[in-house]
Amino acid sequence: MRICDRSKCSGRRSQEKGRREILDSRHSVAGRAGVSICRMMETREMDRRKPNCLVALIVLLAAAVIGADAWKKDEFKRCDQTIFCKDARNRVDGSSNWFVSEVNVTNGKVRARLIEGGEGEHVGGSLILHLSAYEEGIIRLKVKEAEAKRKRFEVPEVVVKGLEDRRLWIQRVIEKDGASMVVLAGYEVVLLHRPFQLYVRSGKETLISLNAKGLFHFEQQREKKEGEDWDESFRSHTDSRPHGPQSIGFDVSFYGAEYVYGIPERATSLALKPTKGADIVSEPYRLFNSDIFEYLHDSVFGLYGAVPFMLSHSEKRTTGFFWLNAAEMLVDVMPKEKTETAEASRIDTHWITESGSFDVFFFIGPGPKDLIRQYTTVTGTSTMPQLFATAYHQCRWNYKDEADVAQVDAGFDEHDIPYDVLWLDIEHTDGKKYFTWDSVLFPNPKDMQDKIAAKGRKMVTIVDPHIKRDSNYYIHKEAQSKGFYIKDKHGRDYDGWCWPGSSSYLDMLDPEVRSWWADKFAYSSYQGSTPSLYIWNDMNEPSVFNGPEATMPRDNIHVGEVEHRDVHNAYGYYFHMASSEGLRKRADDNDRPFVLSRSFFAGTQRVGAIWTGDNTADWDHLKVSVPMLLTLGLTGITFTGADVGGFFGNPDPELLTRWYQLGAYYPFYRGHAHLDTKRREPWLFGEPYTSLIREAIHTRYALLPYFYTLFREANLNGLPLMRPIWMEYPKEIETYAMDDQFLLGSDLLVHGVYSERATSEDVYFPGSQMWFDVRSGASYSGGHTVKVPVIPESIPAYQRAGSIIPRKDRFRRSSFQMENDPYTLVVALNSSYEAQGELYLDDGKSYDFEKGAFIHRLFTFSKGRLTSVNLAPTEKGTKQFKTPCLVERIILLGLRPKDLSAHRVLIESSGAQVPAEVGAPLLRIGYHQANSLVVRMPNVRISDDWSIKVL
Amino acid sequence: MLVRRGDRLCMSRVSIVHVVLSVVSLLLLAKDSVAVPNLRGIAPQDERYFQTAIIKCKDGTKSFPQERLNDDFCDCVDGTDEPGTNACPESKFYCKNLQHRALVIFSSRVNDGICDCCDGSDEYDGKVTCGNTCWEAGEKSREKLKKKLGVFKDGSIIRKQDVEKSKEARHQHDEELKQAKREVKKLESVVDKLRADKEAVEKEEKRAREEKDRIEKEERERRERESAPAKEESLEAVDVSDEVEGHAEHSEITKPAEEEEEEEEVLDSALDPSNKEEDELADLTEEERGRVIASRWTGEDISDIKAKAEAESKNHPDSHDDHDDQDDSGDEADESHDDEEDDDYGHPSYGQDSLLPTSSQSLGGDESWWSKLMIGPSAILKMFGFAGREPVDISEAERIRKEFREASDKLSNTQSKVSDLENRLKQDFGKDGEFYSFYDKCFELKDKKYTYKVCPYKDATQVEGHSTTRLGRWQGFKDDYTNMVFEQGDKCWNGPERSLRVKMRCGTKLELRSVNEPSRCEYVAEFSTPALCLESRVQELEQQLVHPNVSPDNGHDEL
Repeated sequence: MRICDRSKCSGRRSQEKGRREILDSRHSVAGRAGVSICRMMETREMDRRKPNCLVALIVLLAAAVIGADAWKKDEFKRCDQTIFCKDARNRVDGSSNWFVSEVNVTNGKVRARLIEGGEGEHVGGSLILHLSAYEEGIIRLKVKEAEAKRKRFEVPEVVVKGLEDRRLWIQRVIEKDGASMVVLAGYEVVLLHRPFQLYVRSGKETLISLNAKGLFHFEQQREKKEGEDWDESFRSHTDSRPHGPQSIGFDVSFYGAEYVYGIPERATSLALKPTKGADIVSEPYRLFNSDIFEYLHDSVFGLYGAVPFMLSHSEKRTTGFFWLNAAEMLVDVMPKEKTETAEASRIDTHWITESGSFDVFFFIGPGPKDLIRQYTTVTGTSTMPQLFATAYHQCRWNYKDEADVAQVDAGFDEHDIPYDVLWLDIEHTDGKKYFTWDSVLFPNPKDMQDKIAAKGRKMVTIVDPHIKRDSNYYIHKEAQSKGFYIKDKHGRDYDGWCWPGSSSYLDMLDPEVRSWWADKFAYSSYQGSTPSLYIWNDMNEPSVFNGPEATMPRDNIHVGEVEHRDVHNAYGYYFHMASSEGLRKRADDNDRPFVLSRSFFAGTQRVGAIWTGDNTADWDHLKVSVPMLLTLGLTGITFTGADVGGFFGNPDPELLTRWYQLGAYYPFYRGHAHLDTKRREPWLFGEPYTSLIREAIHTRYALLPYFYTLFREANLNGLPLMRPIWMEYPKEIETYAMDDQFLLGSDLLVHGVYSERATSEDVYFPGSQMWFDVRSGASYSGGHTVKVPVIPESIPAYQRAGSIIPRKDRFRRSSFQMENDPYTLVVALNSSYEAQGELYLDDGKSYDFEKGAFIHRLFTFSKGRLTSVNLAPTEKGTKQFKTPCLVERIILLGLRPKDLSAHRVLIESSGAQVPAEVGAPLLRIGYHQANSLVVRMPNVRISDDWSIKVL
Repeated sequence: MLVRRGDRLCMSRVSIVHVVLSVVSLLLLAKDSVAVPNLRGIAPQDERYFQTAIIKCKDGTKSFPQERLNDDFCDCVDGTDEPGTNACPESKFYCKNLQHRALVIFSSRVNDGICDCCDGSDEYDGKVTCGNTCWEAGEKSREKLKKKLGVFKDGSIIRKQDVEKSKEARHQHDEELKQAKREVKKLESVVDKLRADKEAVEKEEKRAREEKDRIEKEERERRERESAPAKEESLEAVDVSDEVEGHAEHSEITKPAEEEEEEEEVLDSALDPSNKEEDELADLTEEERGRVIASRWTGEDISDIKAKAEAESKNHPDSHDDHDDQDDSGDEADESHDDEEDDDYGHPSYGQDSLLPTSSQSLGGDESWWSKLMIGPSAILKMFGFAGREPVDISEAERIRKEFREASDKLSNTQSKVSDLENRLKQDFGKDGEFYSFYDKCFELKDKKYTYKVCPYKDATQVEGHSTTRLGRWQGFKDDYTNMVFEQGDKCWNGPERSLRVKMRCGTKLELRSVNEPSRCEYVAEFSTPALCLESRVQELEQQLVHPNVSPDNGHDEL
């Protein structure tokens, strides 16, 4: 099909954006008809010129803009197109009519009965409530039907196994004024009896509540009434809803909150905007994993993954709420309100789900980091990645064949640009049958991987969850004969349509299927795989091209007769989990898996990395990547990135360069592109872009020791690498909605450049200390917004005064060759001439670190002296890690002018003296500032205790 | 000294071999290192620069004492002080590669565990042991170079001959052009004369005809006076014929109005929540729906499904289909017109237009003047029936007309030849006219599915079965006549217009060697031709063979 050729249609050239909209609308009715009109006109134009084409084009453009937007929306349900959501959203405050009775303490938990209706006139069956508490300020509330017709689905494998060990034993409840109160360390939980309401309080301060607005609604499962129809249709699909209505809804209020955050995934601001209230017209935030084609950059629409976890934040307090439920969920956020009791504000939220369990957690903070620790106590902390996975990845749909792979690999070497991983998308397979290779394009996959691996690099192949229904395909044959596929409502293997055509989907809810799937990654099973090959899971929402809302029918059946509607949001997580488990198994538990996934759920952080899916090559998508990744980080998932360059469309070289510069600070750093786009390997745009992109990637490689240390912090404490400013500066109100800049760890402040030919950016410097430009060493004082000049070589990035950042400044082909390279320590002194920093390192690949094989150092600069002490536990583990690495350079920023002069410094541990000279903080041509003191070759071992008298 | 450096470097394992090697090299160094700096990684011609006690960074920013040369710490940001280590990000390492060619590598390659220099000089920290493979590599490369030189020599001879031939051909074409131009002039005067004769004869004929008409008219009027109704009928007949023509024009003009209607429909359907696409998708099978959705990403051609969906969702299939059919047939007609044009590319058409009679012959009646023309002049004359008057000498008129026609044909053919030659001669045929013979040649390559056809100065296509896709129209040479560029090919479904870049290199044969599509719809071909076998390169290659180190050539081999 040809698209209208504008030059023929009229002399008027629409803007690039307009053109894209036409192209984008190609699937919409408007777009399609438009194309035919234009085609008609185009051909007619050959005969004689008609002015009408211009008019037609304008009309068409308008139609296409509406069409493109409308079309996408139409394919997905609006709230008012779903009975449970429509009903819940129309519910008025106070409509809930439940009361509490029979409160007692059993097994260290509070147990109570919830009854609907007035006393003596009960409606329906009653509910049983269980309230429990865990260490560190975690409260769990479960509510279920006293006599359930059918057990509601409880999402397995999300809550960490050890959680029950941390449960506090509740001894007693205090009954007072029609309420039951549980007093815990520093806070209490109040269960109001009539109506049923729950409050978490700390002293006089109310933190968080449930059903304070009276929206609690629990549809109990029941028999179908005579003549009742439970079918629910949407577009051409009908959901048979065999178990009838079973939705749950309630309100949660966050007291004192300025903003709420979380509930990924969507492309929108970090601070969640209200969706319901006077003068607000919006869909609720939707959590329903979907493969959205060309998603918009500012939308409440739910994307590929879901974490039903929300945080609120204010100067005083950070609180959080998590609902362990994987069914379709919708959340309305109301505008901030003043409460009657305190002068503080309050944000009400309304949570609605189609089915599943009522199993919720309240987290009480008080600080943002406490809160994340609490949440990751429940769902787990981030798994420790291999070092290579934290470096740069090169991907494209598709590197065509072995020659193409060799050529791209050589291209990086030829231009001295490091990279660690080369990726192969779906076209590498034989007919989209995963674990196979196209025998023409990839006849020697092992040789190919070995050649790449000879340079210390890795490869990744894609493995998706749709299995081609091909009787000659071993995966299909086995899965079919073992009955491992998800069934349709009639009990047959569900047959949907995806890349390979007719496909079935493995039932990843079933541990047996997961285990079987994991075995498919064994070297003996996955022909053509080698130890340097890792995995990418895409389309695991699951994406079903001909399914309702491009996914699986909700009345499909999983193991244990569980309906897909209950599992949906966690399906991708289970698939990701099984693949990751496979990589762990194939290497006998001694090679950390790397599996990238598009879909995710609460707990995904324990499994692997996530990227933000099919974004678009425009400046808006570059910008929205920051709030998207920040939100994921707040919900525990920190090993994340957006496709550098944008998946759809062709970035101009400036956008691509800015994206590489921002991506260098993403936890996961990968360039990727759609099949239809022009090639965009870093060297294809000529100078200055090749050098600029090389510089961006080098920035990342130099910072790998800092990244790796942060990954360990995430692994231990759950803290994200990319942090909103307020996570480190919780009292700075002006930062609460800030999402165009972020902190990487606590020590680097990064601000992207989100527009063409930018000459300056407004950067807010938090705190009261100085910030040092990482390239020039120029300093900016905290507590101000400064219009900083922007240069082509870098986006604005600053090191916090008071921090020490470890770097490896030598350029290499990949992280592998950097293993034994010496360190540079960048010491940025605060106003009292002190600084502190950490370094974590291990072998970068195995699980020996869990047995003590790691190095963890604390660097402190104080009183003119830099010291290094051990932070690792003193008791020796069963394994040890050793490194011969030295410190080759110490750079000090922020010295008094009198101290900024060449002299000799004493290495106290050895008695040796080495020179310190005035220099620049960065080794690059054109950077000759003389604002730092550079200690030359102290050559102390990074793993040793030492002290150096610098001043 | 070296051992100390070894200490400073991070080494996981120090092999015994390395220790031995170090000791040996230490001894070697010690022998002649009294005041000799560590010149590792420095090209011989640059060594002098590093002989002074204080050395300047080449970018002039600062200086460093000689003992800091290659001390594994970067003092100059431009890398001057660390040519032999990996300490400076911007420095380069020179390997001598005796018995082969010297090589300059990025400092990032020094001691990275991968042997980059065939003499192994880039790996000296003992992590890996690189053997010296320069002799083998040199042999191989010399063999390659020899072969290449052979090709260049042979090719340059062919090229020379081709250039000569081109000159001759060009000269000949120049002559032909001059000749043809002279002929045109001559023919023009002949045609002018014949036209005058013809017009004279025709004027006479016209006069005769008018005379006849007058008589007939009088006759008719006489009869009309006798019966009035007959007149109306005949008038009506005239009206009808007017309308036929008028209608044709009318339909042309009204088409856009229909289009506008359809645009409104488009708007409506976009705004209408009862989405049309939904209806369409609803009628599809599961597989078809899957394919439609998949096509968003892949751009697969799903017009068959869409056509089906559209057909099924139309409420009034008759009217709509009619409309569509009309459009389709219009398209086809236009496309075939396209093809004709394409075929005529480079052969300017002097077709029927110029053969049509220029004098306006009034041809009444309801038959088109086309069919009349087909009957031929003599028939026309006969038809007019010059009764009663002295007739024009019919055979004489015929003869004049025939001569005129023949002369005009000859003229237009010659004009066509002139324009053809002019078109050819104005093209860019390279510095020496070495591409002259490309003008009317096409080069083909059969790949698995496709046949690629590259026609310089014209276009490039990809043929699959009966379908031809244009990869681009000729744009000219690029990059000093090493590339042929074709652009503005057929537009991709969801991408740019196709384009092709033909990379040419020296070869004894004219041969399209490969065609690839590295990015969607951007094709790259490799093509060998003697035209690229330059004499100057032959000398260069000979030089390289004799003095391999003089011109380090890291570039791609041309064969």
